[in-house]
Amino acid sequence: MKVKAAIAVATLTLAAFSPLATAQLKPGMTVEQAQNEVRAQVKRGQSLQAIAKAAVSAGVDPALLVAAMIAATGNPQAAVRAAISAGAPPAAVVSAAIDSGAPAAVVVAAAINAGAPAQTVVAAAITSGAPASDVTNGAREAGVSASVITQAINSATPPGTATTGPTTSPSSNSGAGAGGGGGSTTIVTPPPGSQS
Amino acid sequence: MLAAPRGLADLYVFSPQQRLAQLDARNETPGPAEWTRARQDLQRALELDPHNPAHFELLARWYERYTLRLAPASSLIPAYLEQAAAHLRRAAAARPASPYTWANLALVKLRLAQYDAEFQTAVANAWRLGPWEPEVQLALAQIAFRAWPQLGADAQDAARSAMRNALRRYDRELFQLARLHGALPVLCAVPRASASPLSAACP
Repeated sequence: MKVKAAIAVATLTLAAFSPLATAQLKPGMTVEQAQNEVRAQVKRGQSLQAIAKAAVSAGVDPALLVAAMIAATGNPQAAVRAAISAGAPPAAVVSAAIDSGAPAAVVVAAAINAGAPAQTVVAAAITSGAPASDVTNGAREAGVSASVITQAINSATPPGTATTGPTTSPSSNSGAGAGGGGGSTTIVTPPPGSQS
Repeated sequence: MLAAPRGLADLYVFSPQQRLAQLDARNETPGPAEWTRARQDLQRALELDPHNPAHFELLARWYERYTLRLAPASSLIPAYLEQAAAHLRRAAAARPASPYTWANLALVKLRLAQYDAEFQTAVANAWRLGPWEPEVQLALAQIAFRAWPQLGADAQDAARSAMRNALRRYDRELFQLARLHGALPVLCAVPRASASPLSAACP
């Protein structure tokens, strides 16, 4: 009896302290904390879908979740698919994936293939500044007809606005030393040798 | 033995450091591919040399710089700025005497509209540790122009003192910044402002 009880206690203890039981993405984590957590869970054999589902139910910001999954895996396709399958809002997923640096065509195709509505996906991609040509390629790859794509792009693009994505645009650098710039700040650079 | 990982970390840091300096000089923002690469390189550098405040600060600056590229409504902006702030906190903890780190933390928190005790302390520390650093003076002036009512008494004193020092040599930049932010009254209230020929613009 004593042996059985000891085994039961040991089993319960192991279950309680096993990584799968304790590890979880939580609201309030930084992107890199979430990234490290995703990487660790994937290493332990968790699927991205399961990770995304747990994170969405825990109330983790979908944008942060998607950025973290992409950074952790280097696989935007899988990250977008997992987040959408987990119930994260498709527009938020698509915008976050593109904003985090993933190729727009890959993101759009993955989102539509995961079941997100094409119009929503295209609109989110265009709003994030993705080039219309990339969005078109992605949507076409997912099997969306050319007429639907054109309609979606037109309805997402303000009249008279170019549909090409941002290039390396000037930042609103009003950082110290530059002595000018726009409304945003950019942080200051220590002069060489002053920080060692 | 310890030197090898540090040396390797320096190799990973080299390219992102050079590129950021270039972006700073050209007043540009990084493209997605170079941002992804820089972040990976700097994260690798931090794995190899996890206590180096310079790596934390550089990665923070990349996060902040990349947000300038995103649409203002992007929900990743707060997430990336929070990450930048987290790295700057690590840098400040490891290198508490750097006025640049404190000024940068204050600037990131300004963008997050977090005017809490940490923000006030960062402003005060930046001034206390770098009263004659032009970059710090102008950073504090910028904070004053954008968030004067949110600054506590100590932080207002710090920003005013920084502007007073900066007025000796950088009055043109200060007046330009103040005009840009619609904050001429803040600058004109600084004692030395009236000595500048540009004070004719004061209300």
